[in-house]
Amino acid sequence: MVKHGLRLAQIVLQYIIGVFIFILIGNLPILLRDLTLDTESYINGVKVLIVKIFTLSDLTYDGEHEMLPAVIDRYFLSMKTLSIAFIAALGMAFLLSYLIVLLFEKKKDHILSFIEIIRSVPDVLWMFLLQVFFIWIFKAYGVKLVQTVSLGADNQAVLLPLLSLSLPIFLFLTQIIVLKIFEELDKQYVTFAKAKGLSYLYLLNIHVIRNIRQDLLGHCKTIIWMMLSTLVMVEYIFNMDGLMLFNIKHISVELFVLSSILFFTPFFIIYRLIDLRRLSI
Amino acid sequence: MTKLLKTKKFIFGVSFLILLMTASIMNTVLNDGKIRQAPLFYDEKGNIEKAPPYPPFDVYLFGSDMYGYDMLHTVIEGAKYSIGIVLIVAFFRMLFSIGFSYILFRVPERIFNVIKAISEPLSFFPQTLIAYFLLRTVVMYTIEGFHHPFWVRALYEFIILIMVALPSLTVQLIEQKRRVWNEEFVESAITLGGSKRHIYIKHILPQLYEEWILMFGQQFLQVLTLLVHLGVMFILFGGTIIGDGDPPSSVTHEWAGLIGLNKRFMLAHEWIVYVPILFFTLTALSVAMINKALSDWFKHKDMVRNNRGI
Repeated sequence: MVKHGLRLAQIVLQYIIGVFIFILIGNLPILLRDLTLDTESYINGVKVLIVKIFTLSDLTYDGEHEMLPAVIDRYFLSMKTLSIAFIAALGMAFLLSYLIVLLFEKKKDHILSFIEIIRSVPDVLWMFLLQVFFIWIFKAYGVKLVQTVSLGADNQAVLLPLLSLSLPIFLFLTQIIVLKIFEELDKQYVTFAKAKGLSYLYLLNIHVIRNIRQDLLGHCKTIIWMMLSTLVMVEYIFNMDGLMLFNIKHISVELFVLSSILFFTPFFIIYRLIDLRRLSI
Repeated sequence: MTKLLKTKKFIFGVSFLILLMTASIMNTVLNDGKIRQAPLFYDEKGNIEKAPPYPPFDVYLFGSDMYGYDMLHTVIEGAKYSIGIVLIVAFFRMLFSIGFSYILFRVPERIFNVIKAISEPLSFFPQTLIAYFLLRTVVMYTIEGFHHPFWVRALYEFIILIMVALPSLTVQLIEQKRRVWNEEFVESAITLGGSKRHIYIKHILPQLYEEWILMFGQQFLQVLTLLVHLGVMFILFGGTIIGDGDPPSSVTHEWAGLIGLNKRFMLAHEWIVYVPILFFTLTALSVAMINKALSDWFKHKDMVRNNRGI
């Protein structure tokens, strides 16, 4: 019990360190204003902001408007987009990996290196290509399949942001899953299971997937990082009214710090839970 | 080595990069950095027949921009700046994090955990936004013009782009070094009385330099993506000039700048934006191919070495 308490205290301490780091970074513009090292007002700014953040009061994004009501909705929109895109990417990645494993086993090296190379294409290109493709369809056939860019509350672009957000992760996940499945299939227990007469699909579904889950969780951090990076561009290019775009439009120290803490919190919790699971096994 | 040189991916990647860089440097050396321009075309009666921007495959292969400058030529002229910036940033990222990890990799587990706790939050927030925030608030054009000369702004941007990735990269390298340090042969080297530096150079470096080369490639791709993002969001290298009614300008024809500047033509003359992005993509693809070829080659070398041992 004491051990658990200690662990919890450690995690809480880590979280507080994280918040402090964001406050320190967020205040850097004050320190670097006009590239002079204005340490005095930097320290002052940090002090004021610490009080504001920990009491969640007096936060404004442009000096006059209350921050929290403006931020919360946009934050949930961003998080919703992220999670839907992630689930979609995970689903598609598993589908494609199963296809590769079951049907194209001989060509897997080529497919894998193709995926690895195509993964390096900047995500912005996918977005522009998707936009142009659907605009071209609209121009050529007069059919408006999807909204290519959000214009006002009635014309929200939904499908394209999700698609372009999940595409890079989808490629990344597929690569890892296929690699891990083949690594796993080389192991001895697979031979044993085959000898026992278990079917290939049963083996894949039950044993292999269970074993590669750990590796996938290990890549969780990279995936989150990649998705957040892409999310910035997605919101900017498709004019989605999420928290990232709000940050780009209103540059302010308080907004930056608060939104980074908001994004940090859930992922921090998820990551600690994963760590806990991995340690306990 | 010959096996590496025979890989198609490697040949393609290297030759594309070399060709692009040579063309770009030659353009400055021989052509004084000038860019081909096609002003208006007139028919016999003196009426304007064609005016820029020209679409691709018309006057020029890749079309032209609003002022009739050849896009392909512009992109080639800008190549050395873009690739140069990315190379420098990726190189210094690696150099500094290797340096820091050398100083820090023997610290006790407890302190290492603190370092990890410090570097972790940064990986939960997009680099693009951090860089955007720090660049936008410091190097922006004001009514009185820029407060600082070009080189100060450029240096500042370099520092930000390098610093943004340092914490996580350093932790990654420390973990790598600790992994090797815990191997048996290092233990015997310590027993035999090797100093930290000796063991580092003789035993750890040979284990890791291949991984570092691959990491350099990955960093290159990361910086490239970051630069595209910043370009799309209108942060030009050396600060953005906004105002005066004139469109903001990018003096060096650097690619990220070209994207940012021409984004307002997105819907009407889309090729002006696509050509720089296309070249970004091609560069990224070539680097990815080189990286893939190298990692295959390293694996092959390891396999040969292991087989010989048996």
